[in-house]
Amino acid sequence: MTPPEFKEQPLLLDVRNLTIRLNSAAGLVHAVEDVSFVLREGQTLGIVGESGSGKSVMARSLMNLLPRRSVAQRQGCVVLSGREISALSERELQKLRGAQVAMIFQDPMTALNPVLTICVQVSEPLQQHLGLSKQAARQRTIELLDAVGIPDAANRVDQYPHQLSGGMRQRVVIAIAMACDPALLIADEPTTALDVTVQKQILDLLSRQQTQRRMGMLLITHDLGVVASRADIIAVMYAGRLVELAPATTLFGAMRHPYTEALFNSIPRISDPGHTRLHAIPGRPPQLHNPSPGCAFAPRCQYAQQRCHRETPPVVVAESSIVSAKPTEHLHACFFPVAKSASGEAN
Amino acid sequence: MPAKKRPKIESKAQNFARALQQVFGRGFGPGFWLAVFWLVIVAFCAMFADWLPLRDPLDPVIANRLDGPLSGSLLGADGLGRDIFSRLVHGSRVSVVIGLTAVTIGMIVGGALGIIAGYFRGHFERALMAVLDVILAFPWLVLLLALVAFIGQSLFAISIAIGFLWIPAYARVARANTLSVVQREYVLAAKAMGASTTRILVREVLPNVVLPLLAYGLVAMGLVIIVESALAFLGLSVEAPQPTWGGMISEGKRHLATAVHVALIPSITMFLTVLSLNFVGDRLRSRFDVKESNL
Repeated sequence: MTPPEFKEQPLLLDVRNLTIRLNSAAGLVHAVEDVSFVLREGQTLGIVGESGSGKSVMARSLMNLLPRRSVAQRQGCVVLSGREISALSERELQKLRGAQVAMIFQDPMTALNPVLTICVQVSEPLQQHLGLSKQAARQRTIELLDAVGIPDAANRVDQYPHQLSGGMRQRVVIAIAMACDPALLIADEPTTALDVTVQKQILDLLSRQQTQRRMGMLLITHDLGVVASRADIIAVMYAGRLVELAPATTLFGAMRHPYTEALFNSIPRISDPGHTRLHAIPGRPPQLHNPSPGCAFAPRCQYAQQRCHRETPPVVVAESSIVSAKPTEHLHACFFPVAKSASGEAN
Repeated sequence: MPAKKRPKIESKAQNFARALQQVFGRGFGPGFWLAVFWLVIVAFCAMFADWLPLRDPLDPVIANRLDGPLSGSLLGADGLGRDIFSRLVHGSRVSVVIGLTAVTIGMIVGGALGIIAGYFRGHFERALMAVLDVILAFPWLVLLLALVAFIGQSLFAISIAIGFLWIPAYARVARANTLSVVQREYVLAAKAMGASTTRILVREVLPNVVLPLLAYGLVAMGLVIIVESALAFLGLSVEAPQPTWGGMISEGKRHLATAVHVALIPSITMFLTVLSLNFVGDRLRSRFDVKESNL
């Protein structure tokens, strides 16, 4: 394997002005609003946001996985390795899914089919995308399971999902995703349903696989701590919009958006003295149907001023992003950016 | 450091057996096995009736006419002096064959329609459900009589007619289960790995829908047997000399005042069979439900 070159890697994923509105009983849901970002090969982009901030909808829309009936509007473009996703037919998409882009879902308990053996589920994409024979696929399956750290893989292949623990199942899900060596892995809250010790193992496994295979990864989570040490770039989403996007080191060094700051402050730290009150963001995340004008975070923002309630702040380049020499820009969407450098860095 | 024990390699079959054991392993209780035992006997009779050492079910021996049970023959003789036990054994064949084929037809046609409707939704689903509601709203016996009059009275024709009646019920069960399976993340995961629609239907949805369909099938089979005997009672099932349970009850009703056993014995046999089917079907269904919720 060639060592990754960090200078100018080719563009893997280019999302520009993606806007998605969904039909719901309560009306049009503005799930994703004007989201743009790029991902280069081998990079990890962490997407952080609360539940209902549009992370999953965005992730699913990247491969057109949203049910067609529920998508009311879709604007903007998603370009994967130079190909516009929305221009592809369902056939072409099927060839792309799994082979080029793989997905890992939140809950390993439901992401595996209870009535099929592990072997069948892992070898399915192998047979379909790589055209392996049943025997070869089985061999490859055992190797894959071995690679994701399932002990005794030769025995485990013929077991059913209910015979495995949650962490093991998530490993199987990762093995399925890795099966065809995808260029892009979308991990949609891969560790949310697991307990903390297993979380770390799974995240370590993901980053190991990623460096080995030079995949680009989209790591979606609501836990800032999860992406802190593992993502190259971090994007913070709020109410369907991208509110801040910066290289991880820059972000934690000089966060600009009040929401990022609030999120960061609400992480409990082990260095806190006992009986410290946990900082919480007051209020509730906004409803995504008929959004009011102005910044979506304004009602909960402690720095909000009149202008924030009237106008939607555009995404701009942070003025003082000169601290880091990295070429990637520090973007944020706030009229009155905070200029705080995080003092107590989480490990 | 102790020598590392090499893990035992289990064969595919052993793993499958273990999975089965985890589903069926917990006791069903003696009632369940008694019911299974009875069904096995009925199935055996249906398969091997021709080779069993029995009297000819069609041979009238006038001297034995209306003999009671245990007088000369095991269960006595009917109004024409034909051996009731032998007729029961041969009659089971009609019940079993019609039960199996009718349920299979209903399951395949109704199941396929239901899965397609539940997966694709939209206009097809609405149209199909409307048609099925019409069929369900129609008095089933009238519909059945019309069908039998139209396609004839052979074993196969009657199976098709009764099977047709079961399509709506099966389509509804299949559609309901499909709707819930499609919501699960593994269907989305399969789609995200590039599975085609056919593949999702066959590999992801079908295996999960088939279990409740099969369990429902046993209960349905009990009902089919009753429907068949209702037809036979009206003289519209398989034609006359061929013994059927419903037909035997129908013939026995003439002798109810003098020889109750002629009608009672086939009634009890049918009762036990249908009860067993319901019992086994119900137990299996609840077992599958438990499995679903455990996952």
